[in-house]
Amino acid sequence: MIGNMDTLVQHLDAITEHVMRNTAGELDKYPRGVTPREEVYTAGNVSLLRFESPLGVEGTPILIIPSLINRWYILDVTEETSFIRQFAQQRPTYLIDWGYPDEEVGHLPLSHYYHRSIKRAVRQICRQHGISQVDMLGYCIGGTLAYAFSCLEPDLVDHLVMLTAPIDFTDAGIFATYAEHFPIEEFSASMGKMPGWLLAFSFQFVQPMGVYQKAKMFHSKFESESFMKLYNAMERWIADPVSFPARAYYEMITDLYQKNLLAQGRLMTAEGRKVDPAARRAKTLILNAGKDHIAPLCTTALPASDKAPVSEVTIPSGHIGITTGRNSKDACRSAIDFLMN
Amino acid sequence: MFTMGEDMMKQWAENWEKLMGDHLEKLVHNDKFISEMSKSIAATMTGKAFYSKALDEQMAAMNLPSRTEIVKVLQKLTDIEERVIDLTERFEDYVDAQQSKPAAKSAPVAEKAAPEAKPAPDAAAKEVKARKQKK
Repeated sequence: MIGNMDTLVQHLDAITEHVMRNTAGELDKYPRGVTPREEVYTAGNVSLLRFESPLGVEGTPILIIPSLINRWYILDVTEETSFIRQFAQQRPTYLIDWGYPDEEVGHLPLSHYYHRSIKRAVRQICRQHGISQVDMLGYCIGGTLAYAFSCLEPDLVDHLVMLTAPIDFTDAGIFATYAEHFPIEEFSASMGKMPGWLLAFSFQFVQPMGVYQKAKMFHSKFESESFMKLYNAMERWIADPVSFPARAYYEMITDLYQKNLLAQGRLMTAEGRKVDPAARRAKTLILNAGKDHIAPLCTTALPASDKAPVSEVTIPSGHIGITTGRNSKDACRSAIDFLMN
Repeated sequence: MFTMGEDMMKQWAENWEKLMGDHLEKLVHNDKFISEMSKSIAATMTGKAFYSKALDEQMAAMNLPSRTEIVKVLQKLTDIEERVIDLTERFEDYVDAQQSKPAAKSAPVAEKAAPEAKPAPDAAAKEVKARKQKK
């Protein structure tokens, strides 16, 4: 009897291993980012990636600041939709990979990310190329971080592209309502990080029919090879959540969403430096999405005190669609045109 | 007949989607619903904080490090790493500045400029020597 049980357990074990190996094999087909790259600098969890450009590509390097709440390769998810691939064809292209932060960085303030980490990356690029300024593109909260950096270090940023980046949180839509009610003090007292799975769930929660609509779309298009490629790559990205460091999350909810300090020019770094929009000089492109429910159009407007030259392009898509949807090529072209002029 | 049934099913599914979509959309945007949900999350988090504290005390009673203490140690290590990175950068900037100085002053006199190009190690060596003498 015991012998039979052993055999059964062994069989179950073999089946589980087979399924897991196959699943892992499937996941391996969809790498984290498709453009070849190398890690040129590391500081803690944060690393600076340089993407492969064709020989002879030169000019002011572009530094991409991705969002802190998900993985960077949404901008490089397939060859057809990759922003990074397009940028790397034109200019030396770098990106800050925030890694997978955990509780060991839970005590670091938000300014650690928008000032110290970005400054280190810019310093490395400037040393590498013998230059004094870089161009920047920030996506989502990464755009907010890049904007704050350009306020603090106006001499280091020449051009800034803010891709669906919320700056003015006065009327930030559904997420502002959730931030207003979120029990932030209880969170601060009990959690060392905002878990990635909870963040991912909150994004699904605000679009309750999202999963059903996705399944419907899958059913109608699954025979298309190009659709399946993008669909699987996107699923790979969605299934790769990132935790948000606790103190930085606390400051993002209170200082940005609840008090709107950045737009009012009252945001301070942990070292006591004022993040002043009036100090900014970088030529700026606001690249926003008309159907964005995460960073609605009104949140992407800059404060009145910001006197830097600004232009704006609105793409008829959603927050994620602007990077991977059918209009993403227009968004990418707008960013490249702006950076080249 | 079959087509008619299929059309009816399709129509039913579309109606269901619209009805559910509208209802759920209203629900997740409802202030009262969000407020009640937040209260429930707050209660869970308060419970977690209480449980973690009790666990920490039990670990301390057994003379064992708790998770909170280990995280604190990790955070201290992060702080030290940050400090080392800052100091390395400052040192690199200092060396860069020193190396660019003599090159700008007297580029042709390469033989004389060479030893001056590394003032930082010399200064460090002098400091170590002075410390040894003090001892």
